[in-house]
Amino acid sequence: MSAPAEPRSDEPVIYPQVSMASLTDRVCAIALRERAYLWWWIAFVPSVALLVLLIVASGYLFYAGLGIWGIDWPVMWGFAILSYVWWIAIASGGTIISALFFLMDVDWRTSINRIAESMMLFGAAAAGIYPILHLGRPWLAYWLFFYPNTMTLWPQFRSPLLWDFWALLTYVFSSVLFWYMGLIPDLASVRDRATTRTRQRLYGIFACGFRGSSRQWRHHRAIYGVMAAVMAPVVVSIHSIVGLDFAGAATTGWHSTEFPPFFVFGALLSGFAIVLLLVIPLRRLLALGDIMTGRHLDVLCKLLLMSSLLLAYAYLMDAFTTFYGGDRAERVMFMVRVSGAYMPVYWGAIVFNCVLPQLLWVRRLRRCVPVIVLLCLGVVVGMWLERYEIVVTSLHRPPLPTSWGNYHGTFWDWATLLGTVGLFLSGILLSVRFVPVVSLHEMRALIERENADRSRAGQS
Amino acid sequence: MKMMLLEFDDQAAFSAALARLEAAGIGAIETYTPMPPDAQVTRSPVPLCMFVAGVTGFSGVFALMAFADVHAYPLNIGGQPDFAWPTFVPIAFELGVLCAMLTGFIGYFVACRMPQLYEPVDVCRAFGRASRDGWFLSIPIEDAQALSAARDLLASLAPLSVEEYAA
Repeated sequence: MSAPAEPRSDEPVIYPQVSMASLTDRVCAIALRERAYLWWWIAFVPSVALLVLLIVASGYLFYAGLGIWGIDWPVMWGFAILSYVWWIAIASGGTIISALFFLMDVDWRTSINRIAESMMLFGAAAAGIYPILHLGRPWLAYWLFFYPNTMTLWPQFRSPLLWDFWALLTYVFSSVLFWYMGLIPDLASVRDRATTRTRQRLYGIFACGFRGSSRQWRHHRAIYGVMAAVMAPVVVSIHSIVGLDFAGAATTGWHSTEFPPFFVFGALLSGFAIVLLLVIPLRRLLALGDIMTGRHLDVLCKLLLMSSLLLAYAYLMDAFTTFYGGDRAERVMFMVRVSGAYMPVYWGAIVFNCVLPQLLWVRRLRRCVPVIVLLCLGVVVGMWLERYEIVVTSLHRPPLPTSWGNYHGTFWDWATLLGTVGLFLSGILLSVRFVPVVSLHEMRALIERENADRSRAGQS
Repeated sequence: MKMMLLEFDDQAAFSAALARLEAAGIGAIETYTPMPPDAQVTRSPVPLCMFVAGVTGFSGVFALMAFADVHAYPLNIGGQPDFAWPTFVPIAFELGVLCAMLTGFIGYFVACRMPQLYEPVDVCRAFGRASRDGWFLSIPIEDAQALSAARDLLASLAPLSVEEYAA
């Protein structure tokens, strides 16, 4: 039985001909290739060009100040904050797949886990630079820490913005530790397959002398499980706290108790969309169609559909509470949101995030790769529009009509946004090139289990 | 001391051999496997350390914030109480988590005595397969008597490869 050209939803999560040896050799060979694939260069060069754009944009920002961005009274939060939220959502989706579904012990998570984790890592990196850029005086970023100082001043612990700083710091550090912990045994596999001295040394150093001894496995299994159990609430906390950044402010359109779960729903949706956008090309380009099968696409599409429904519920309740509550400013702002100058942003978010994903109810479309890719791209854009709508539309109509104003991103806003896309893509491509793209030790356990199931089925 | 490294084809053969060798009381056996063996008991003191570190981090940071807001620098914001404890929870939680994760990560290296880039077993030619699909057992050979006892057992265990190395 081999993988069909077109994905099917009734495929197994792993084909029976995949053995521990063949999988290890194939995946290690990708990391150990002498020269990178041509497609890799074609993707990598523009990504690095965008990364350079980020460096230029940040450099000019540090030189000239925040005035180069479009932010001004009353819209003091613009691209930086909305893109930060957008990236953090993408990262969170990766953690949900790698940690939450690990705890649920689902078989389809294993082969796409490493891709989801890379997404979490570089999504968090892309998000993490925004708050620093947005500080205005980034060299004073250390004021966010509590440290002994001559003025005996302390940070404002009661502000969600400070919570956010610590949440992000914890999230980035914990993501790196969790990712590396799962990677150690696989780096050992690459080390043992490497043929040149430099690679043996490099992978050897990063594998830290992992040999698969009984003690190494015993502790690894215990600690990795607990780390996953810790990461799952952390990912909910980070995005809830990002939601509280908004909900904690007495601003029209923000001051709502539904924000924390609303943001987590958005994280689910954008996470599944980006994972699909990474898995679909990689399974083809790296010839991994027999471990990332139609079954994976089917499951991810169903999860995308589910999170789209959750988000639709949040949009609905957002509208409902506006009119159920008695605040006139809230109602004015909402009417401007759905029918004013930023109307396309609101309806774009609705169409891309809630309406179009409903196509995935149809089983045939869940196997149709072009449709999935278009829907996922739509979701990625839609999620960005949603954040634009939350950040910008809410701020441009504060309760006092004398303070009303408009907002547009400048060239430097767009340059920074595209630059972080470059950062994300370069990171993903480098990890695809040098790190095993599949969690090998977990795949071996899956192969062992599938074989045992198959032989048991054969006997009965 | 001399050691002997035995390689097995799959987990079933490996587990059977391990049981036989343990029953024969051949000495301290080390295993090297491509995945955690199914029969292995997952027991480690590190998760407990993670829990303790997490609780300590949470309480310590919570206490620090309470100290700062109540004693060191009370600040009246909108008439909120100085000891606004619910607002201390998120940062205390995050830093508690960070302490737990760092403890788990460092604890792993301490518990496994890693990084150890070289071990005598690395000289064995077949050993690279331990990170691929080979299931290995390493047994100590203390003297000639132990060697002959091991050889008797080996005949029935049928390992894929046998190598001797000095430890």
